[in-house]
Amino acid sequence: MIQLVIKDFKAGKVYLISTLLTLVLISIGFMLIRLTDDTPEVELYILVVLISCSITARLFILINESYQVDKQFISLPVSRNQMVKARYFSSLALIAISMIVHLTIVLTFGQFSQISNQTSLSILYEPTLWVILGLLLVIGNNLSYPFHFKFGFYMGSVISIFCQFILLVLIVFCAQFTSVQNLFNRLWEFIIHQHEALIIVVLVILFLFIACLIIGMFMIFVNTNLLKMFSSGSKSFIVTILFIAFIREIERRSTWTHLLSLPVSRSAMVKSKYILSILILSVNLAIWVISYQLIKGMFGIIEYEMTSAVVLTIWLNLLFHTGIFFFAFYRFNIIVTIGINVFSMLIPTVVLTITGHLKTQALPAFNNQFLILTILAFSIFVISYFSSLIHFKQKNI
Amino acid sequence: MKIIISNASPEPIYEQIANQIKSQIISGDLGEGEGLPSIRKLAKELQISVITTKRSYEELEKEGFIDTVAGKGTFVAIQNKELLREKKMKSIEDQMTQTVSQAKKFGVSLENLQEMLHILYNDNDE
Amino acid sequence: MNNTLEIKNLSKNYGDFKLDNVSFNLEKGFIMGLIGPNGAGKTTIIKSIMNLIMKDTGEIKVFGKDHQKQEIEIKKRIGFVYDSPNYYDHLTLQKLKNIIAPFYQQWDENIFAQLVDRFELPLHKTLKKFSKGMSMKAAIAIALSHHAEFIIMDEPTSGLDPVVRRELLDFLRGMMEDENKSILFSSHITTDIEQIADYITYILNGKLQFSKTKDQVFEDFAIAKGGNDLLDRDIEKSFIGLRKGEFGFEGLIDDKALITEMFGKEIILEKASLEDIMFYSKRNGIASQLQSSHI
Repeated sequence: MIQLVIKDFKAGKVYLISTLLTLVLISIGFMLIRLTDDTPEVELYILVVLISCSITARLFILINESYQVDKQFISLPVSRNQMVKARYFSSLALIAISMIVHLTIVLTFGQFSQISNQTSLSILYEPTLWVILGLLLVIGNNLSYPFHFKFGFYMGSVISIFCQFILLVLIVFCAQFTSVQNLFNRLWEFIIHQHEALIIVVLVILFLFIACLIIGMFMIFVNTNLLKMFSSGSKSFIVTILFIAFIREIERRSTWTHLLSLPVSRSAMVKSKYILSILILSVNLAIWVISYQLIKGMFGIIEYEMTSAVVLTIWLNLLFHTGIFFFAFYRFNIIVTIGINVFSMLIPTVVLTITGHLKTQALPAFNNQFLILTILAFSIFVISYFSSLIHFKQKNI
Repeated sequence: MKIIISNASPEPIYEQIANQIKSQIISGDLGEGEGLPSIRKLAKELQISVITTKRSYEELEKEGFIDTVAGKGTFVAIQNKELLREKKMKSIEDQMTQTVSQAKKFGVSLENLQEMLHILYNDNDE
Repeated sequence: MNNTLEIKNLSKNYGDFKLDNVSFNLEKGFIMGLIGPNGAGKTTIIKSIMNLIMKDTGEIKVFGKDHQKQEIEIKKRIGFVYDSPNYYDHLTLQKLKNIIAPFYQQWDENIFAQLVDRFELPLHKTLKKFSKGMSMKAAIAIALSHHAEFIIMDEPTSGLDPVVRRELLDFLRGMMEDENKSILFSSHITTDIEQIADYITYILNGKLQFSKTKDQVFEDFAIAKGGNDLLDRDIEKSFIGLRKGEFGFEGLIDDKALITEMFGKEIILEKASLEDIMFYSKRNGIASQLQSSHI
């Protein structure tokens, strides 16, 4: 079983290192941006830690699914049990590693930039926080495993992030009714002073962990076709998100040879993709706006007003990301594309920080910042479009 | 040892092999006690199935031409001199039977046949 | 224990496809070719042996051991080759070997080095850049480097050019000089199987048609050709498959004696190739009395 875990590390060495570097950058970046000003947003940083660790935990699963290697490894002298266990172990190892990275940054960088001295940020230095985060990651990770095995990588990831999000939301929601502004502080205080509660929480989580391990194994045994299970990403029905919509094409370049034998020009293919993406994203955005209005109507507890400036800012961000996405899509493989996407999500924040606009808590409005964003987004989109057009026209398939 | 297989021939391959080995033993090209390749080696060299070579060796063993010693290999059996001479005679007799029936078919008389035999036999001496 | 592989009453139901009660054995030291049209069930059988698919009923024994209960032990002695290599193609052959080797206690570096040499494989080139022939050779090199006694291959020669195919078949034949090795491979390239197999197992629509020695197959079956005037309803029934042309007919028979008796010189009998057998039997299969004539 250990060999299976080792193989993940050996084969994914390059990807792992780049991911960890990204983590370091994200961690430092967010600390710089969010924590070194007057109203530091600890919650956001914690969320970033949670999500980045969750994504890192999935790295090996993504690699295995991209290269379809599970079929090969099952013909080696390993049992299905061992493969399930190894899968869990690998992702737990990844969770541990990514958390250690974040923790190290917090401790070293934090000391360096005086963050550790600020009282409002003292949560970051509470071991309890990290324990809870670790457990949240482990639960979310384990709960998603049966779905990974049955429905493939994408569905599993969705479920995992969804579970973790729901758990977090629940905590937030509960805290709302205790009418405390900074909910986390309250929660931590509660748990710190109530060690028994902590023990109960840990035990419950351990139980869930074991239950998921068992469910995961059970699903494998019940499932009659191991190969189908490991490669049934096509079952995922989330196709409205840009990334998922085109990921199959990245994985299997051979679809291009088929498409190009039809009477369509290469520029038509590129053009249609860009237009389709904008359409998909706009529809998604519209859905989000509608949901927001509905929730506002039902609960009335949402703080931010969704002005047209806000919506347009988001739309411009999406435009920007589409440009970056397709730039990578036509040139690199799936994992590099994901990596580039992650970076592209950080860039606007970094840029805005540097130009000094992020530290003011002002909502997006039709101001200079908006203008800059508009120019940036459209230029990236247009550059990407023409660059992809030229690249694809000349590409040897 | 020399074995050439013809895929086009109607004769089954195992028979071709058995016959070729048989004639080499009879003619003395394969001496008594001489070692033969294992069935697997033969199969590999001739690019045919092991089962085919196995079958030819079984035939040869049944007819007493070869012996298989466990652990050592396959060897040309010590031929009973009488038996060998008999086999050689039988081989010639078979051929002559064919020639005679052909001669009869084409209407060649016994005298003509004997004349031909004479000439051919003497030719070979030179 | 003389049988490397024993399959008894193997069945697997997929809904619209069913593998139905398949039984055959493979003796140690021989090569068995599994033939059948695409979708006949060859891959299902192989995957069932390797426990990649859960069979519904039946018993499978490899080296005399149950293939599920002693799965790991068995797999240590099996080398398995897929039709399309599924490894990390961003790695080099050397790195891949370093990942796979620790899984096998019996891994032999010398054998691997010899095979890499013989197949002329580059150790430090990424697998993505390997041609199909090279990937197949690489897969075989890895499968054979741990003293495997049973090699299972699923369509190993499909997609390879004729030269590489010949090389591979020669290599496999060379392997069989060792009487402790057995090979099972499925292929729809019947000429390869005709060249190299000792035993032939024919699967059609999930059912076993026959499992016998190659020699026996060619002794039993023949192509009969003659004029259309010779045919009538009853006679047509004695053919496994028949093609009536404008100028004469051609069909597959499994009883040479009977046909010769009926028609004598009016019919020409020719050797039936495996392709002929598969082609003519594709609709109705082979009659059951000739299914298993193991020597």
